Formats: sequence, structure tokens, C-alpha cells
Amino acid sequence: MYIYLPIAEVSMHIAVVIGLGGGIGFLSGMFGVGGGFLMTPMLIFLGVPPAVAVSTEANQIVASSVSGVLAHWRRGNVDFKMGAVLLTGGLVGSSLGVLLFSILRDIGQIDLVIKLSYVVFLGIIGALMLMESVRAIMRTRQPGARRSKMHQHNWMHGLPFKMRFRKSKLYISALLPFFLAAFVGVLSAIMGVGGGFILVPAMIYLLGMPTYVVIGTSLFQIIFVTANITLLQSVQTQTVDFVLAGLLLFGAVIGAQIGARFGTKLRGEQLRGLLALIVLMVSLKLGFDLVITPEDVFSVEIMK
Amino acid sequence: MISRCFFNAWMAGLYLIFASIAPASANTLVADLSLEEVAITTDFNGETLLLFGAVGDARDGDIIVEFKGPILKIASRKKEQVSGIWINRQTVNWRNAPSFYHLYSTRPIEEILSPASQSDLSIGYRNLGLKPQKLRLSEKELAGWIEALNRNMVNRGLWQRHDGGVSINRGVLFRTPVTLPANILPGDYDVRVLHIRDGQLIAEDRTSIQVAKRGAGAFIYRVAHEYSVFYGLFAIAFAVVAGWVAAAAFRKT
Repeated sequence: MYIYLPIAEVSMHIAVVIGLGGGIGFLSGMFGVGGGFLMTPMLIFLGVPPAVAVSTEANQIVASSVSGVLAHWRRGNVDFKMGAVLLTGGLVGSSLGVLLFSILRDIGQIDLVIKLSYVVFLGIIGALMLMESVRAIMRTRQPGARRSKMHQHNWMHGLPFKMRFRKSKLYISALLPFFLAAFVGVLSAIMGVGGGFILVPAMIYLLGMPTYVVIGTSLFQIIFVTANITLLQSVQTQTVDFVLAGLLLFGAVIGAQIGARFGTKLRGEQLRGLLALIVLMVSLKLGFDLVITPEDVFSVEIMK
Repeated sequence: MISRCFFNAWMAGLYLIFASIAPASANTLVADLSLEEVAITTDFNGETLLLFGAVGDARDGDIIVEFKGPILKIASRKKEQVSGIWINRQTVNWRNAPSFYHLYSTRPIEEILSPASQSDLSIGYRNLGLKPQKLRLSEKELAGWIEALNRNMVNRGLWQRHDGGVSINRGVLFRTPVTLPANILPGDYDVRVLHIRDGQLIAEDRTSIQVAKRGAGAFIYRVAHEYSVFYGLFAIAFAVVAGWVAAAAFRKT
């Protein structure tokens, strides 16, 4: 059965849409990631206009983050004070990102910027994750190796506006999480992702937050950032297709449950290694697209 | 099946009426479509309709049908390699490019009309007088951009030629199926039917059809455009509730 998506203005088979949601939901449940970085390129690949793919994915991430944050909240693993600073930055960044997105779309460079952002950021994160997990696997085979000191004093600790974050056991400048979240917010709006794949490692290694509060806190702030993108894109470009978001979500919810069960069968470092490979593959595929000679150097865009 | 039987009966009736009036007015042409409107509903995946009609005497003539969609903002872009990466470097915004352009004819158009007559009658994408906004291009450059536009639109099924698509029956009745792809855009579609004999236009008829969104999809689209703040807030609320329900449903398991 085909369904004509009212905002995307494309006709897709309903099984393809739900299957896509399920497949990516499975991976996100297994690896504990949002999956936006897989979903948005897949939607574009299937013929959904880039603007609709990014806005609709933001809408879907609101739902998956709400569903994810609840468990962390119940366990008390959300640092609301840190979350508030992050989301302030995130709101500023994502608003700028939405603006940037529409400018880039008008001048015909949005496809390029989306692809380049994916290549650069997924490439870096994927490579770092792969190195880290290979090292972790080696370490378990060589017991006795010591971990180096995680938290070091540097220029970041000389910044003003210091704040105490009790739950994270940190006393750092509020500017750090603010600018970090603002930067990720811009990427979030352009790439159609929640940004957890950058935010989580940055919160651990850059801010030095304890691992157990990182996921809940980042999910908490992603809700607000993606809600902001959903609202701004709805008002400015009318590109949020909530029918598409709903169908993807339906598949993703079921897929994530199955994936989570699969995930418990694998060890943490193996999971991270596998995820790193997927991330690198997406990055390489998009990078390859930018470099190979296109079939036709001319393209056509029907603007509405 | 039923509609086909009905159609044949209706064609036979049309033939009888037309056969009786034809001698009096040899240079007439009437055409109609099997639908009054194409509705893009939730289960829309393209639509095939039938264009049919009658001419005074088509025994030694040809029929050309032009099906033209609304003029929308269409941009052509050309990529160039910049330090290894293919980047859009040039843009042409078309002032008057139709979003849909299908031609149906009894034979290849080149056999029916000379290049000069094709141009006089504005038949074919090269004769639409396509012009870019602002940008000034040499005639040769413009022709290159038009060929590229045609190539891209043909790939999407939006511009097409169906040589031999029109069939003539008993010398007066003609018909052609018109296939509208799933990616068709709403708007007013103009249909022009030409009867050509010996390279000359004998008779012409015009009709039009509206392609419109209908049903739940149309409602959602309208709300998204007319009440966009409400739509955005609703989409967020929907996502929050859906996420909450999903978490609650799987909490125990």
C-alpha cells in the first residue's frame, strides 16, 4: 500500500517507511544512539527532499529522546542544571542552524553542506570510536594496563562565569557547555540529527562529566533542541511531515526494543567497534558521492 | 472494467452524433478527458486518465496532444569540480518552465511538422521560449541549459514524448492514455489538441484539468501552511506523547 506523504509530496510504500524506521530503530536500540545520522541520509536517498528529511527527523527525535530520557530520569541520571545551560546554548545554536539551512537552500548549496558535515563529523567521531574500541579490546587481552588520567587542568578552567554542577561533580565555566551545545545545535539543524554522537563524547572528555549522567542529560537537552527545530521549520519552511515522522517512529519503537535485547548479547567494546564501522561507512559513502564524477553535472530542483 | 464498457458505449454514442454533424463542419475538433479532476489523496501513486475526442476527418491527418503543467519556480544547477569535490557552481532560475510537459502524437512529431511549424505552434520543449530570470546567456549556452533541463525532467517522468501514443479510430475518433506520475505537483494543467494535415494546422481544441490535494493529506498540508505555529506545536506535542506512550508500553518488558 502506497501512502502519499502530505508535506514531503512523495508517494512511498508504507512497508518501506515502517521498515526503515524499524531497521534504524533496531540499530539505535542495540547501540544506544539516536539514529538520526542514519535516518536523514536514508530519507534523502529515498527521494524525500533534504529540507523535509531534516525537519521531519527533528520531529521524530523529539519522540525518541522523550522515550529515552524517562528511564534515566527515574534513575536520577539527569543533571538538570547542566541540562539547562546546555539547552540554552542548544536553542541559540539550532535557531542559527535553521536560519543557515534556509540560506544554503536558497543558494543551492544545502546538499553539499549536509554531505560535507556528515563526512567530516561522522568521519572524525567514527575514527575516534574505532580507535578507542580497538584499544579497549586490546586492553582486555592485556590485563594490568592502566588508564591515563581523564581530567586535566588546562586553559578551559580559566574561563569566567564559573558554576557548580552538583550532580556532575563539576565546578566549571558555564560558557563551556553553552558554546559546546550551541555548536552541536547548529549541526543538529543542518544534519537532521540529535547530536548525541558529538555531545556525549564531548561531555565526557571535554567537560569531564561522569559517564552515568551524560546520556540522560544529553537526551534531556536534545528534546528541547529538536523541538525548537521542529517549531522553527514548521513556521519558516513548512517542511515538517508529521505523518512521515509518525510512521518512522512506529517502526523505530518496535525496532529499538528488539535491538536493545540483541545489544545485551554483545560486549560494550564490540558494540562500540561495530557502531564505529557503521558511522565510518556512512561517512565514506557520502564522501565518495562528493568526489566521483556525477552522471550528469546538471541537476534540477523544483522549488515550492 | 465497468468504466471501460461504459467508455466504449459513450465513444460509440459520440461517434454516432459526430458522424451526423461531421460533413457540415469538417474542420472541427472536440476533446475531453475521462476525469474532471485528479485528486491527490492519501493512497495516491500516480493516475492514468484518458484523453479522447473526435475530428471532422482525420483519415489523412495527425493528432498532437500537449499536456502542460503549472509554471513553478524551477532551478537548474551545474556542478564543477573544485579541489576534488563536485560543487554546484552555476544556477539558472527558469522564468517560464512548465513543471509537467507531455506530448502525445500519432507519429513522431518530426514526421508531422517541419521545425519551423513546430516553432510556430510552440510544440516541443525547444519551442517553449524558455528564459532564465535575470541572468544573460548566449544562445548556445541557453540551448545547452535547456537540453540539460529536458534530460533531468525526462528522468523524473515529468517531461515526456509519446510518439504513436494517440490512436485514431474509424477516421474520426482519437484517444490517448495520459499517465500522471506519483511525483506530479498540484495545479492547473492545460491540454491542447492539434489536428495537423500536410504540415498545416486544421483544427485545435483546448481543455484543462485541475490536479489537487484532497482528503486528510490536503487537510494536513493546509494546516501546515495556514496555521504553521499551531502545526509545529502540534507536531511537538504529538512526538512527546508518542515517546511517552512508547516508553510506558515497553517499561515492563
